[in-house]
Amino acid sequence: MSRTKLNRRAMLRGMMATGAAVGVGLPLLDVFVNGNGDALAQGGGFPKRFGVFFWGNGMIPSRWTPAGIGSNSAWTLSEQLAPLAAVKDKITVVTNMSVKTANSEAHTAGAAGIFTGTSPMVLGTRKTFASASLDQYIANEIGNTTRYRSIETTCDSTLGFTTGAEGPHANGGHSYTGPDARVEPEYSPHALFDRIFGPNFTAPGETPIIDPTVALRRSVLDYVKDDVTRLRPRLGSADRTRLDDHLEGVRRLELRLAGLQAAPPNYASCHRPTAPMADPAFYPVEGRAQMSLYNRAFSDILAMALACDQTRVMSHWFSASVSQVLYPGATSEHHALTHDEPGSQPEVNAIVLQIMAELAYMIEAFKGVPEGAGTLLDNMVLFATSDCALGRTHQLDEYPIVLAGSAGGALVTDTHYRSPASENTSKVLLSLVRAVGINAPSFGKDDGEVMDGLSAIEG
Amino acid sequence: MSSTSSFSGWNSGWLALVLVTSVTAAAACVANIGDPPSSHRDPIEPPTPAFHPATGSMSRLTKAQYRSTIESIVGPEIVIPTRISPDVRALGLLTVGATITTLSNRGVEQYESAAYDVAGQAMGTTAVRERLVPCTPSGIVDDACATQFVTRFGRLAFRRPLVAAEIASLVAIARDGATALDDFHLGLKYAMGAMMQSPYFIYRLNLGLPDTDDATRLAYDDFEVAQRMSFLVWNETPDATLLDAAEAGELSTPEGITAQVDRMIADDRSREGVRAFFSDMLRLADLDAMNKDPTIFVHFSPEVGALARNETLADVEHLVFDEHGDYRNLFTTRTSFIDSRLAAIYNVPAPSLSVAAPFDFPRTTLRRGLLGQVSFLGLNSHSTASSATLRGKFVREVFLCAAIPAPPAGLNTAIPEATEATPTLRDRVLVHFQNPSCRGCHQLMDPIGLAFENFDGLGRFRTEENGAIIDATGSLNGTYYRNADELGQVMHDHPDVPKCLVRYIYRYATGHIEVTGETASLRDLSARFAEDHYDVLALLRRVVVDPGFRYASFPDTTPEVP
Repeated sequence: MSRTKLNRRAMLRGMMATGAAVGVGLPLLDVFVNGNGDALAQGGGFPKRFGVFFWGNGMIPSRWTPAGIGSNSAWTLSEQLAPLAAVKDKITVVTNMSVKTANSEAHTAGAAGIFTGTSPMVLGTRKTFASASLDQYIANEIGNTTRYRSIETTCDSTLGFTTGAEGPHANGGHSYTGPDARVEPEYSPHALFDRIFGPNFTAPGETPIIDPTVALRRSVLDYVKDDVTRLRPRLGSADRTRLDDHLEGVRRLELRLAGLQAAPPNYASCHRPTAPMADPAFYPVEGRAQMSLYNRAFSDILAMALACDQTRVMSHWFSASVSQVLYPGATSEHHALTHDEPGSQPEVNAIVLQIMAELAYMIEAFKGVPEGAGTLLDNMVLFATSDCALGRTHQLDEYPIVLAGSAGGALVTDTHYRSPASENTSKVLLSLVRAVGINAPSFGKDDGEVMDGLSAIEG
Repeated sequence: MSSTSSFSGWNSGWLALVLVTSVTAAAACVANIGDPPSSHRDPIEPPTPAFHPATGSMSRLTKAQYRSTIESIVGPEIVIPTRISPDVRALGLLTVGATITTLSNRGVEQYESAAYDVAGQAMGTTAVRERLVPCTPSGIVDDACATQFVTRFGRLAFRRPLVAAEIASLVAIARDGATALDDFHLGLKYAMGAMMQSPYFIYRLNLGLPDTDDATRLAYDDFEVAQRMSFLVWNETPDATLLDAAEAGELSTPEGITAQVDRMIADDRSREGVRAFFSDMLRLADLDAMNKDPTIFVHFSPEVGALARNETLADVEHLVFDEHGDYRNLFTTRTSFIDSRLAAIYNVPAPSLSVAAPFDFPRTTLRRGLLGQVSFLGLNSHSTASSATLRGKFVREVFLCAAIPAPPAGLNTAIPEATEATPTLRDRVLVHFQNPSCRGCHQLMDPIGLAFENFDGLGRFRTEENGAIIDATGSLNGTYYRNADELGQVMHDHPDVPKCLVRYIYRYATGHIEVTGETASLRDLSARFAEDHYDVLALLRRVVVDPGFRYASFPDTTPEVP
């Protein structure tokens, strides 16, 4: 695989948009690529990966916060975190942190605040991210040598599956490559499998197929780039920026095609996973989403996508911000319940427990892939969070944060850190950015900006 | 000459609007988009600023346009890929979203897959291939035949003739493909796939050329006018006749444009175009995602959204095309096209057991016009209950063109549970009026929405809630109404209602929110709309010859040499 240059414009934009300035002097890619251009240059032989597990509508802080502070036996899981018991030794729970950007837009302020450290942008009646989300920011730095810069998935397409006039679509997904530049997540496990492990995938030990159409597709992309170049001077500045984003997509596609013509990475645990069932198997049953079936299919494919180094960044938007999924056993959809269920909200609690069980499944799927002396999970960090704390009030303090994996020893595990002073959630994000090897001096903007990570969770 | 002053381009106008809505939040509740439309609110209408057009635009084909374009230029035999980037609604319209949103990396990848999918089907289906390729190749490589294909298909795909360099590049791709794959037509597949990934296909480009009559502005060229017309009137790419008219220079004059628009309106494709506009304005695509709690709404099933959309669009089509009626009658008509499933929700006998058929609702049902339909009542409710706020917000935004900001976060937005003292929603939304920071906006929404409380969260008629009689009275624009039936008449008579439709059509036709310099266009079109007795087709004829549809300002950039 040839050494890939970071696109300068994208990098600069990432810096400006996220407010997480990168140490520009650092030869970033040299961290990940050795002199032979081999993708396996980390100290332990395995690259670091980053993942997001997101769910909408928050949790209930009084039932969420673990007992005890510290590591190992010093802390025990709470009622809502109990489903994570089997992976307690691989996780860190951070509590009493606050999204410090203004709580200006219900749900969106939380989602944008946690992932960008920046207030959301309001376009008329629509609310959107004003800068790149954490996953996309990280993908800009560590996603350039793999076939896919990042993979985005969601189980929250229950309604989208009812094929409308314009075809199905996903509800979930809050990955943004820049201001209002949303990345549509994949909502079909089968389509995701085809995309990664379809005919173009070569498993270790298999001979790459010499496919003449790959070269043709590359020359077609050259033609498309020429069209873009001819068109651009005639446009106004806003449209030039939009066309630049389009061109960036074409370049990424070129890199992917170039990767197909190179030999596949050789990881011992990599194999072609079993193809998931076709879409109808995941359709809602009597109006109720099959979230668990759906999540497990995605988890298994994502584990292999990471194990085969097809991508190093994955964002699983399990459910959307303001998710309206009708869960098994619930009398109403999730969002309505968080606002309308009276008292101690036993139904909302039951839904959080279901979601945590799905998070546990994904963590175990990653833990199940051996890598060297450890597992895939040890070489990654999965960041699990939501769009608020208590859904009823869209509260932004007592924010839910679970980290799984140590990113190759850069982060502690089996720890409950409880902030003594409601610290800024951006500190956790800066720690994550640094844990995957990015030399960033700050994260976030204005009220959301921090210069220091959270040393208590750094290994 | 280059228009860099702060309000001349729509892009800067757009930014200004963003600032207003985000900074002033609740305080902005009395503000409207653009100029104040209502004479009662502003008795002395400000003078109309001189016409100054917006800048050009680059609109990504919506999913519906992508589909209709492929059907038109490739053929009805093609299974159209649906996995392309979704449409995004901005400032009320998907069409406006298409001119401002960006395409993600994955979106580019999806266009590539879709392009080869369609091109592969085209070259692999004999009937389609024979239609698209006007010659028999002399061998695996035949540049002359490839040139014929590229020239013909390219004109359809790019909605303009190709220049020589474009043809040469595409013929080279076809030649390389044919050589590598030993098949002339597989070579064409790659040339076709290239065109379908080009920005000249994916985006509708409205760039303009210097106006020979007025050096301060640009004029859209004939091919740009052709596609503006065809996507407005048909929601489809220009047909051969329209492209020929453009090539002959006939679309540079109002007379030439009028001749074509008359032909286009007479063509049945205009029915699809009008449906597409109303579907966008009335947010009917959102019905696909409408979800109701099945334990509360036993008449709901996932198909209801599509049926409700069809009902509303059938009513619109009937009024516009069959009756050439007054747009405002959409608020007062008692006739609607319903099938047995909707009849069950409306609790009336089905007019037909198999298909949607006209049904005259008795006055006692209080069900009248668009605002008596599931597409409005159900869409603007919660999954478990009706919502006065959502219904009132929709009426304000969609029919009266008011801008209402989102509620501040960090507060409990739950409406209290019903109690013996507060059995009806009217009792319970009082919390919105006790808090001054809620009242500003909610007084614009809730009172209108409460008029529809005789219809539950799906749209089924009721007279009581929790055993108490529902009070649906209120007043709008100084006129009292007793219930939704009477509100329909108040809407019909409201002076802002037709003006707001004009704005929506103008925004839909141009793909942007009007700038100050376009006020003259909107006022003129509104006046003509009244003269034309609020005939929507007459309005379409006016829009396509309006200066705002034909001219552009210079962009905020200086052209650079690539």
